[in-house]
Amino acid sequence: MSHYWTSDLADRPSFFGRIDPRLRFSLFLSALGVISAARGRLLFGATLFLIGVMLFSVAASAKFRRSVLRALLALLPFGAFVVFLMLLSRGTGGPSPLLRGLCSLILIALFVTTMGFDELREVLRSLRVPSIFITLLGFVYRYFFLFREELEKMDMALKNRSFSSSRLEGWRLKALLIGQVLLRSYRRSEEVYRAMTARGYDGKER
Amino acid sequence: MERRDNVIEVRGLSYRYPGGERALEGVSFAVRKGEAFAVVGPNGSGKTTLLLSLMGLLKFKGEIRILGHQLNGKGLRELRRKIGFVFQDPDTQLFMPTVGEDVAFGPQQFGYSGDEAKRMVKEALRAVRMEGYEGRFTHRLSYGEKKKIALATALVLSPEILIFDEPTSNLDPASRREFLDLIGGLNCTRIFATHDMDMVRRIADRVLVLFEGRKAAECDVESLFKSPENLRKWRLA
Repeated sequence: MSHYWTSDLADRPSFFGRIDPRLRFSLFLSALGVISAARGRLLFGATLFLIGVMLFSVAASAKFRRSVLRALLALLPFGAFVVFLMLLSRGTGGPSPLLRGLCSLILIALFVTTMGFDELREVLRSLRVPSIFITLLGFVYRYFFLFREELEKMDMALKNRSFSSSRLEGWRLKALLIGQVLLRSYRRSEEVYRAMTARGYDGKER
Repeated sequence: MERRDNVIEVRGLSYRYPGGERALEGVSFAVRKGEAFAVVGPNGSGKTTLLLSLMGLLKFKGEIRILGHQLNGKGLRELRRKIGFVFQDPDTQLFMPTVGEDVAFGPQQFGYSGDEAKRMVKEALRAVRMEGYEGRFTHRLSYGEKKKIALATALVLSPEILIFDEPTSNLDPASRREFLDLIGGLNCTRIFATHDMDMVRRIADRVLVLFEGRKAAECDVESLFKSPENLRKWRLA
């Protein structure tokens, strides 16, 4: 199934995978901090460095190359949307938003392809991140795949019954589809809360 | 209706949806200790609403007594330790990322230590023939596997009463047979809402028939199947 790949990627051996996960996580956060704060030449240099790291890693392994490319492709629409928003906001003219967007994409792609979900939670626990945050992260991970699967099924149903060749109409239907998934997620959240309550949950983190 | 061996007594249970539409009206019945009690009825007859009410998950009118305790705000959490609930959709029931964490959720809520919870998880998984699945990601399981793990999450606290909502829906024939064997082999009191009349015939001792939110009959299984006319009238055949 297509939705398995994200968690499978990190299980594969890689150069980055051999680095201590805590160090990897700290490097990821530090790099995000640097690209958020960097301006001008520093930002340009950081971009070149990250591109270099990515090229080095994909050159080192064919499997890794496919993984990184797939992660980049999956993240691209989100990245493009963020960059679009940044371009619309004041005082962020020039190439900076694009470079930051590109750096973020590369960083996230490298991160998700080298850090498994279990590994990430272990790192967060060892860094004494509050357990409620880790639990919530678990819920997000658990239901991400479910909603993606629901979206895919609904998209298939939509394709099966839509006969309009208009691209605009296609986008309108896609927007409706996403709205439906959000509504379903709201209903699902109520059902999950009931399931938790039935198993003794009373709002306290244990 | 009052008998010493009744573990559940329901009197005049009514429930209306927030929009005002009636879901249940004046339903009364009793479930005896150790029996397999089926709740049957067509779609929209109020089966799931009734089960959710038994868990104290809905605000209903009427009286429900479970294991001798009035079902109201007081002691509800403690009562839930003794009642397991298996939801129709396992994706609702299994909300944690891994099987082990999910099965351990109940014991953790009731304050069991890490080691004890691990032992309980192991036992519950063995009971549903899913040993060694602790570390598996929930989203990678098949539907049949999810159903069994959902049962393990309910069994882990060794409940006195187990409630199932449509336990065999969407299962392939082999998974259905396995799941029925599991349910049939349990010793506790079992209540299940279902459309699966073959399951009722095979497992249930007694049956409650709901029709349009009201009790249409409460009888033993043989009596239910003796009257094909009634089965058709209640849209069960």
